[in-house]
Amino acid sequence: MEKKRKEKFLQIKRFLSNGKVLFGGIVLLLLAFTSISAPYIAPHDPNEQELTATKKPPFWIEGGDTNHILGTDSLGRDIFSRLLYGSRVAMFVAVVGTFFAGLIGVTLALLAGYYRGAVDNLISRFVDVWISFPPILLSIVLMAVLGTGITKVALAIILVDWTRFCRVIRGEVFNIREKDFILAARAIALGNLRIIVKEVFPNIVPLLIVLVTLEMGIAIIVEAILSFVGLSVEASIPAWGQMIALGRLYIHQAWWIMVFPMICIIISVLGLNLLGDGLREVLDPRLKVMGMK
Amino acid sequence: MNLKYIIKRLLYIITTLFGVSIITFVILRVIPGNPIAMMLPPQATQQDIIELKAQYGLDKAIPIQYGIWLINVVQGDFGVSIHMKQDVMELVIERLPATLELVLAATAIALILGIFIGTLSIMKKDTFLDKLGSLMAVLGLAIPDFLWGLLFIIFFGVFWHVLPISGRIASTDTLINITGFFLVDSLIKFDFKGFYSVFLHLILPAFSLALPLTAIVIRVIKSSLLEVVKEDYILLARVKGLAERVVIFIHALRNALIPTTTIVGVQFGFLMGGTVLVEIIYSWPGLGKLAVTAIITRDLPLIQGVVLVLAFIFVIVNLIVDLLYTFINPKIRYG
Amino acid sequence: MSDPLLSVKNLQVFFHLAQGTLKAIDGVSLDVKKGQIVGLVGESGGGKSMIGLSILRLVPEGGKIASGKIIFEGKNLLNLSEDEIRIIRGSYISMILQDPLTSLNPAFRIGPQMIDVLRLHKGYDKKEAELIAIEMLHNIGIPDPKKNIRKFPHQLSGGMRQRVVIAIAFSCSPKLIIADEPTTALDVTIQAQILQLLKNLSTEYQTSVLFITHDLGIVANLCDSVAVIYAGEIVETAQTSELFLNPKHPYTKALFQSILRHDKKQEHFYSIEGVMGSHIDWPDKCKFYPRCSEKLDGCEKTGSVEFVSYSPDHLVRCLKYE
Repeated sequence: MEKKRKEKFLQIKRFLSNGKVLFGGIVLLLLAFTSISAPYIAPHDPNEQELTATKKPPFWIEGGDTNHILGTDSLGRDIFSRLLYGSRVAMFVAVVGTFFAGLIGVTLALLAGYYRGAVDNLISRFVDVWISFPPILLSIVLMAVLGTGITKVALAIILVDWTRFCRVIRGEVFNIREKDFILAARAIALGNLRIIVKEVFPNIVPLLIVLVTLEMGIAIIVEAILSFVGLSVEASIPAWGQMIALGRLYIHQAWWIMVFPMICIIISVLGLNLLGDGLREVLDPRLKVMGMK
Repeated sequence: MNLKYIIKRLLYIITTLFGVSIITFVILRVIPGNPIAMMLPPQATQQDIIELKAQYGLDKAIPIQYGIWLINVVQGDFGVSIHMKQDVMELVIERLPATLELVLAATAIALILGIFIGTLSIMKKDTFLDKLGSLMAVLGLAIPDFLWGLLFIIFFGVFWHVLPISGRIASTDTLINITGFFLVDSLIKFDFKGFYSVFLHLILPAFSLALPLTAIVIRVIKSSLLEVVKEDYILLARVKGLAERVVIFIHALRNALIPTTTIVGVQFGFLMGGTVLVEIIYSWPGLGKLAVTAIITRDLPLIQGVVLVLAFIFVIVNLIVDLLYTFINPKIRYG
Repeated sequence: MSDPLLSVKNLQVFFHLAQGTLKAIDGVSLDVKKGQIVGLVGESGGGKSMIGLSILRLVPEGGKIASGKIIFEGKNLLNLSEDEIRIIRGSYISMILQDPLTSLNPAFRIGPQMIDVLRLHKGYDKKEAELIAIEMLHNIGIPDPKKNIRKFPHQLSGGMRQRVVIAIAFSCSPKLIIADEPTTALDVTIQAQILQLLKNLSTEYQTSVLFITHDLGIVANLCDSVAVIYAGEIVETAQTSELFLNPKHPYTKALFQSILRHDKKQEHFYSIEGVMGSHIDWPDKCKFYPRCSEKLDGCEKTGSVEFVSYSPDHLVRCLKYE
């Protein structure tokens, strides 16, 4: 028992000694924290308009004050509070979008990779057709069809990005299926479903973890793109992309309106990418995932 | 390269496009926004709506609508844009060169930068240059193209006005449109002032698109070079007394480029449909901007046309990549 | 007698690994005289190839030449600058690698791969170099060299490719060629042809050859003298005829026995008991004694064993003869 605990400790230490994992982990925890506790820690109501104090700069610039530490936007709303609330949107689409995209993609990949033949042909062909759609245009079309709303953004991300999981995992399942332990399990006539769940799935987990972190970054970017073109959440919900689109109109007078949400997106995506990279190094140095964007 | 392979590939392309068109058609027919309602004045009667619907064939069942559309498309008729009242194919062809010029420039930048930085960081392993290359690879992927675009706009639009941040050419310059590729058009006419203006306008949008791709190229080049330098023929090149830069930049790189072509080709396909945001940010009159306008105005024939053309380019590019792969890989070409 | 062309003195090559220090080459001394063919014999993994690479200062990443001298024509190669050693490589000393299938660059035609070394070291222009390359190919028995020089490596057979590699090695008429198992990857019939070619060329160009192999049969036909290497140490050196008549070291004897068994169509090519294993952090003492059939009580206790002169040209490193 003591030994097991020590092993676990060593494993955690190994993960944390990878700088990328450490940095990415901290970013992820921070995002989780701000998105859960935004209502408690935000100094202002994100939609409260102070029309007497529009385009106030951050506190360290002449004219700014600590009441609005990152300044206000063109309608006098507190940027810091809006950023905190914006992280809720980002995290929601990242978690929900990635989970379901992964669920669909992995399920189809397991079926295609395990049964092969006609099943694989059908699924792979469908994936081929699906990725021939330009992904960003497809998500914009879908949002136009679905209408605005946070669950719809997540849905659009799921519908566009399940193929990422499906393609990569399918190849991995193909390889795993040839391994001895799977052949042995088939030889003693274990049920197919059981083999898939108990034998194949655990072996794709390392790859899946890496894909999940990368996909969370992609989901945050896609949400930002959609809210930038005004097709994401309702106007009353603060989102980073929307803040950027607004800030773009005032870059000459008030650069901070646009810059801070940009920094939030960049750090979030950077953190998640590094987490994925680092986990890949720690979990399996031989594992290769192409840096597909 | 046999006939069977070519037929197989052609069938593949046709079925893919068929699939894409069906899916687009189905998705678009459930659009709640009614394009007809947007085209008519508020006081229009029910009768007007029915007439207009009939005019665009929107009153028929979806499979029949699809059949009619497909028959027309096969004859080269993609219909007329509801919003712009112009032939869809004409609109697309008019915008296509702008996007292509942008994407080609971005791909060229990404290839040159990526290959150079990736190779150099393998040669100068664990030095400052290597670290810089790794940083670029990480940042390039973490910052998506439209954020690069906005960063450049802050920098060059607000602080340092040396590069234009909007459009394809200065408003004071005019170009005679021949091919639609402005760099080519200005050269044909020996209009060097125009060429310079077009070139300057291209820099920022092209770099915005290129930086994420550069990151990918750096990664691929580095990982394939790391494999290649372990090969015996690299040892033999060193045994011959060749300088390290010749060994890496000529003997190793040529082999590492083979997998790189595939990745860059696929990315080129993605890039064609991924210029949307950069085109909006830089007011670039390309396909992406056209597509967004079409989507926002619910212009069904135009959306269908643009999506199908982009999907067509995607599969064609993939085909070209496959052919190119056989071309640069002597093992296949002279197999 | 004049100074040897190449004299390796007390060479040590270390790999510092996570598990400890691996002495890949541990105090090797070796002479190659002008015009001589010297065989370097031992099992794979024994450090034979590492010696060849060390002479050209091309030790793989992670390894370091820790001490020793490599005297070539009176100069210590280990003291040369990177640019100076590059002039030696390919023009004064060249090397033939083991596997002809992988030692030519698949992305280039044969021509450029032969021409670059000629242009680099001899200063020929492209035309001249190509003419010389074609003549070389003709001399080493490649049919229709004008056509074959425009082919890619994978379009040639293994034997042809090894001929090309040999042509590259000889093209600048080097003083010394290190041939690292140049025939192992080839068919038996082709092996004989390639060996004959190598022998003829070395006579024609008056090139010394350091011939690395695990095959004593080849040594008998080709080499003037032999050094037997085990786990990074030379254990016995002698003239070929002397070694074949009078093998002294237990390892050498075991090698001969394995040939005999091989001739009796036994399954394994080598059937010396046990495996060489890794010698990471091995203390200073005989490395062979765990497998040795003649080991003495002292072998495990005694420290490093020095060479013993059995006869003037016959050295052996074994406690038995001390």
